[in-house]
Amino acid sequence: MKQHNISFWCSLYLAGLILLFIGCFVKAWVLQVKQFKDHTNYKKKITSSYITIRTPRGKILDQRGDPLALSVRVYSCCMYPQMVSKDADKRQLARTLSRVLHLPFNKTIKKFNSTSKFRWVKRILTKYEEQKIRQLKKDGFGFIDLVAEYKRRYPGSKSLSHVIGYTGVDDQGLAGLELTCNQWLSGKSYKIYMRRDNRGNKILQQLEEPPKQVRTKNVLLTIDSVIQTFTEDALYMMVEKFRPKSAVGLVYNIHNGDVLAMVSYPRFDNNRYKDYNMETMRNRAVNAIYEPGSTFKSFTFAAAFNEGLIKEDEMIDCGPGIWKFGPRTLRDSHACHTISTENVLIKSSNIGTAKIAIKLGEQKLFQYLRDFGFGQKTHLGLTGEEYGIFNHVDKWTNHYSITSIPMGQEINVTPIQLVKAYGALANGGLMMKPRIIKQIVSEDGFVIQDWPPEIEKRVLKVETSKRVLRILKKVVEEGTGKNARSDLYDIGGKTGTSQKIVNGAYSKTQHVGSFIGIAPINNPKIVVLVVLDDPLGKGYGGTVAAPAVKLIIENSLQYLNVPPDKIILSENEIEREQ
Amino acid sequence: MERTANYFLCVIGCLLIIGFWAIYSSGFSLAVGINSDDMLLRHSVYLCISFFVFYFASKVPYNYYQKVSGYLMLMVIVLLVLVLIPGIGKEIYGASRWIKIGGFTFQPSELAKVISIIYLANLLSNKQDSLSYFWKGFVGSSLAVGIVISLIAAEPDLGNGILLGTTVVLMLQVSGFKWKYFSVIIFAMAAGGLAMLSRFDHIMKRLNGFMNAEELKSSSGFQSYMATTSIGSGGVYGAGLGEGQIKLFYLPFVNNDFIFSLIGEEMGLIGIGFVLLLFGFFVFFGLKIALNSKDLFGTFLAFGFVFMTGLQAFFHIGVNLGLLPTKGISLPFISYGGTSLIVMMGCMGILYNIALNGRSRTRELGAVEIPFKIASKKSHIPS
Repeated sequence: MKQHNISFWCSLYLAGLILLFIGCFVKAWVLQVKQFKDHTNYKKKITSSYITIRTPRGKILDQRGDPLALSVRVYSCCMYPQMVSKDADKRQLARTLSRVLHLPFNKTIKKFNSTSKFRWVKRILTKYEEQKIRQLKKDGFGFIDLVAEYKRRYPGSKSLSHVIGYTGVDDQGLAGLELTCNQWLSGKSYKIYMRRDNRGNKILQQLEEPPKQVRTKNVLLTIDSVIQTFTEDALYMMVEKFRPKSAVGLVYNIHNGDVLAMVSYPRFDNNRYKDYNMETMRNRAVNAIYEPGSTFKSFTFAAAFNEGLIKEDEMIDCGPGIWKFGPRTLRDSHACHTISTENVLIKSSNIGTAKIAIKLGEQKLFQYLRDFGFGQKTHLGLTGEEYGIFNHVDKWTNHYSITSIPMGQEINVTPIQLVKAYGALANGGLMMKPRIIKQIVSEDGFVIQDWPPEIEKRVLKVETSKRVLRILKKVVEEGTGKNARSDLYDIGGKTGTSQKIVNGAYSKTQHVGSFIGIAPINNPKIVVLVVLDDPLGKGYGGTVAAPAVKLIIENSLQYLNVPPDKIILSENEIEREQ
Repeated sequence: MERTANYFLCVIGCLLIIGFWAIYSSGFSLAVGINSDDMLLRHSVYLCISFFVFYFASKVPYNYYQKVSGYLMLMVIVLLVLVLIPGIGKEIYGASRWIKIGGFTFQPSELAKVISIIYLANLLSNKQDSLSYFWKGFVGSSLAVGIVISLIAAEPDLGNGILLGTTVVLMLQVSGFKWKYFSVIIFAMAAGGLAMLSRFDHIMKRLNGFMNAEELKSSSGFQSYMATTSIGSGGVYGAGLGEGQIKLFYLPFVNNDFIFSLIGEEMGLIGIGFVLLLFGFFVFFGLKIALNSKDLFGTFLAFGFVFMTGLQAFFHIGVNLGLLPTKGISLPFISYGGTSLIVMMGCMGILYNIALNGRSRTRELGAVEIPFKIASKKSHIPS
């Protein structure tokens, strides 16, 4: 028999163990190298968790960076009806809750009896209510909770409310820029991924910067709140005096198309938009159409000058204030007889303007007015913008349209269209695309998106523009716009008084008075339009609108550091100088 | 032999350091408000005690144990019986394995494993002449040890029972008993195993969970699947020290039964390889010590200790890697557990003593020659 060898068996068994260890290593290699991805994915699936964070809605800023709309953190009260204990006196609890939150008892008790998991009790609490709810939560109201939300606030309250619009309770834009810029403004939510243990505790490893896409974006407007205030003050001054149904004030930078101020009356407070009706909340600067009246005459002149058909000193016979053109009878308010072409505009003669338009021809007139942007949207980025009414030349009625349109009848424009066209008159003939949204900027001031000034097309020669401006200056100096004469700046402008159409006929008593001013006329910078709808009295634009325009121009140009054209010192100042 | 002994110490030292770090890492989850005990502090206390135990054990000449092995065995049997008596034994998770002394709990089965091996080594080295007799030799040697194994299994502590049983059977075989005698043991084990399976529902569940870990990952196979996921997600380089996530209550007893998963997840294949290499060296140097022992008692003792420790390590690693069904077995030197660590270090002290008393290096000419010499000297076993 073979001899038993202890050492051999010892070595054999222990070597077997080492072999088992090698086997373990192979298995570990399979797990950690071959199946690494599967295991990692599964582990991620079971161990990762996230929390959702909402970023606040972006701000709306004016040109200077001042906030016009911003979001503040507030609390809302909610409840979990199923967490109310069965034997609790629901009526008593509901009574207490409705007393604290000033809610009707019936509605509150309904929420208590609800079978759903979650019910809002009251959205957006006041600070006092919030404190009360916190107290109640400790005193046995375990089923109610406070949820942090963002509430939109408009520091300017009634100022610019038509432009900015408002948001709903869920922070979504409902009107104005809040609606059109919702894609940038709206608060976004993002997830922070974190580890989670098997008991559901979340473990935040490090707080990361939110990803770029969800960072708060602010909308920077071209509106200058200082000029806006000037415009509001001047407009409301006239509104108080003449009690119009509605009014519009617009200040427009002719060189880059910036809307510097936009006022619409009647006004409303967008912090409490629910208290106002829709008519009040219309932004009349873009969605009210009216017959521009005499303010429209300038375009016929510009077109005729541009075509070289007339000269300033050419004489036109305007007759005794009444002229028959086919079946159409035209009237002037004063008999002008034979006057120079420039005087036709200065005296605002309907007959003279019509004669020039006839000289220009229907096709040319239509083409020019089309180029000036009438009958087209400006695409400013505001809600409810109108096209205006401007018929195609094929639909023009013989004899009537060619005489009516040049003097601003049979055509409807929006204030912004008029301002845009006057901008082209003033800046040397370039149609600028008006803009109110300048940039989208991040919270730390970086520009995310930019809308640079954009030239749409050239409609007039530079020379033509200068000639028209020269006449418009005289309109203010010696013509219908005398009320706009300023002690500081040379202003050019045109009055407009149109009769409103009531029941299909031109009304004798209801007018739209407007004045559009360009300043400083020798080196134009801004165009200011004031329109008063149905003011008291005769409603002449020179009376109801021109003073406001003058005031706006004086204040705005001084604010913009434009040197005055003339320095008129008061007596006190002259004495002091000596 | 001093050199081997020192290498051996180095290996153990490395394992203890890894263990210290792994317990620190696993304590992270427990520290989050559940177990206010400072686990690391307790572990440090255990380490200090185990160093003392190691020192004393290495100073006592190992032949001394031959004299007292009988009494020690008696004491162990008494302790194991005490554990089973309700009121004295502390029951945790349906198993009464612990006796509480003061603030510390004590696990007699850990001690029983060591004492049984000492007892058996003594018996086998003395009974070399009666190896061919079934009743006098075979049954006589294994009777007391059999009782101990049965008591451990009755706790129930199946893991330690199987561990000790396997070691004992191999020691009997190594000592030179006839093959045919073992058929009796195999039969007894099979019968006992079947009886166990029918008695303990959870064993069946675990076996099932092990077989179908993928499908049953949400129920009974969860632990096994979690352990492999944990290790697998470590990759080659690991998630980084302390970065493991499975320890966040996805696996129970991460500091003990699943500490290898933690190492695999946080240190990757490199860490696992290092630990396996250390255990490989442990077995290799252990074998050297056993073969170079000056007498048969030392050889059997060293073999018993080394094999049992190595097998325990394999069981633990196998469970963690999904090679074996889930069984709560700690990883020697690394897992958290006072009794286990102290007893284990006591064993290592004895081994160190065996190594120091081994034959001098001048006679240690070749690993192959010497074993034959021992064999020829001591075991002339006619068959």
